[in-house]
Amino acid sequence: MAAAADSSGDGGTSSGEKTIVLVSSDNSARFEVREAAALLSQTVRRMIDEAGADASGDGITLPDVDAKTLAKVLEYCNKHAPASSSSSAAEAAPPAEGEEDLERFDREFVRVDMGTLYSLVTAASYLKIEGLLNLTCQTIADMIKGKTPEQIRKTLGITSEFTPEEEDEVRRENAWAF
Amino acid sequence: MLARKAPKNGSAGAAAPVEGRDNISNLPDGVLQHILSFLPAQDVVRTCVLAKSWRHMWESTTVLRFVWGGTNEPESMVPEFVDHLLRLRIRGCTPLDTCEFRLLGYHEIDMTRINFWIRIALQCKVRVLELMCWGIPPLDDHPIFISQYLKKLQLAGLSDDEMPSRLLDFSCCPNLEDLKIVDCYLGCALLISSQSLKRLTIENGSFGPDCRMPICAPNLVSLWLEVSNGMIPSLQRMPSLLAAYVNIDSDVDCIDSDDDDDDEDNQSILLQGLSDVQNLVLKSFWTEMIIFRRDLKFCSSFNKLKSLLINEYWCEPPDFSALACLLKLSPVLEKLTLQLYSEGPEHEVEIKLSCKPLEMSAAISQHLKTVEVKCQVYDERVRNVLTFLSKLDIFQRIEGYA
Repeated sequence: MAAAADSSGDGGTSSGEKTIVLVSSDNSARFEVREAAALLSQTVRRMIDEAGADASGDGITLPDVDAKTLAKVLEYCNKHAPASSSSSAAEAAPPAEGEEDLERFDREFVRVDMGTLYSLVTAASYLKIEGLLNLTCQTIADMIKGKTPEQIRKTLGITSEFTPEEEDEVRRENAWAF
Repeated sequence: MLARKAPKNGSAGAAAPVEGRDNISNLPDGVLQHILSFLPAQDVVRTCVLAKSWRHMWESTTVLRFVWGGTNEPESMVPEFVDHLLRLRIRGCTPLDTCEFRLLGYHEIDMTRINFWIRIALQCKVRVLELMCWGIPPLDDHPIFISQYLKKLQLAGLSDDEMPSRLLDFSCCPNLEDLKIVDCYLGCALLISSQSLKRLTIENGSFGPDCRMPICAPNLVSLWLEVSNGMIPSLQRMPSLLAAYVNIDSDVDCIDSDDDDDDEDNQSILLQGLSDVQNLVLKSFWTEMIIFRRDLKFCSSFNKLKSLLINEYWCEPPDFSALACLLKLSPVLEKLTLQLYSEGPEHEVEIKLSCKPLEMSAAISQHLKTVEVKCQVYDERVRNVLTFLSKLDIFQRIEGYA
């Protein structure tokens, strides 16, 4: 199997690429990441735009993301970030190489307990990271699809609160769907 | 984009607050709607029995997916379910964002009914419409796309030869930006036309055997065109085009007939339309296909082309004239990739060459930095290509290994 000699740099800071510091909500953790990875978050992108040239090395604090979740989110961003910050919008299609690799990564990435999954989906929504939001939502959707209500409640940790009579009433109301 | 909050129904009563991080019901409504948007419509409506807070959530969904068949569907959906759900939507006047009709395998679904449902979806101001029907019998009735709200349309598996000729004329969809056509027979369509279209994807396109179909999308930004069968369509000029992928597998345009269509004399079919592009892929399976080579005579230069990927079609010995011509027409080219006799995405051999054209030469772009060669075997054919390129005096050093 061939390896392409890559003389264009390893994409890391050695090629002088900008990094951004992100700080978790409780201020307990600071993460330095490549700009291309951080900018996968539309929220971060907006915060940088608003901070303007004044953005100092203090980093950007994300009030709604705790350290553990932020670490995991950045794991996703680092993997999915484009090789360079320059817009890859000019590609006619995503490169086929590496797609299988990303799919494998994504499958492993969501093999977590429900609590972590919910934290991830919330963080992805707040940070507006489209790929991560779709991945986590699809994962939860797959736990609902084709399952009985009891199975769904069990997997997702939902308490019904319906009395048997109430549940029957709901079913009758929507009989056309059952 | 957050969806509206689920309407609070007074009679449902206040749900008891639920504790614990594990509870999905604590997620914001927008996120819950996003999760529902991945589910088939039946599963969405059935969430009403999960818990009190879920009772009416399905009513706010703006994404409806109707899926029949396939191994993942435990039961087939009853058409009355679809009727009922769409009737509720029309009555409720809530606009739809996405509507998907996916039929996998043969089903006794009356296509007239599906067309009726599509009309309702369009009436609900749907923005994204997907119709995917492999394995159904020929349609008696065809959808007509008229909508000022439709932004994205995907058609897959439409393989009958009775399609209305104006099916793909989207002048009645003034806001259509994305069109994706997969596994469809396009021989009956007169043309593909849209002023607003930004992205066009045709995968495994089967075109008609006798008539060349024009594609008029003057504001296109991105094009993906696979011609598997039939006559290669003609492309009108696309000044905003950034990226294009063109892969010709069809063998129809391989014969250089003497009685060419008069309209086609002295006019480019493909390349002129692509001449403003920045990233370009041009591949043809058949070396006998004449259109690429013929177009070189009639097209102006690719003045913005930075990155070009071509296959062995262009590298015909002994003079490699097509390649030479293409290089001459690309004055600002920075990266050239030659994919020779190798489909990818993995290639056994990848060679990367650094370039620096030594002198001002009309033969090749002065900006050329990299040439990559990807193939399965470093054989004589590949060597000949490299020999040709080296005669252009551009290589500084060679890196790479098999």
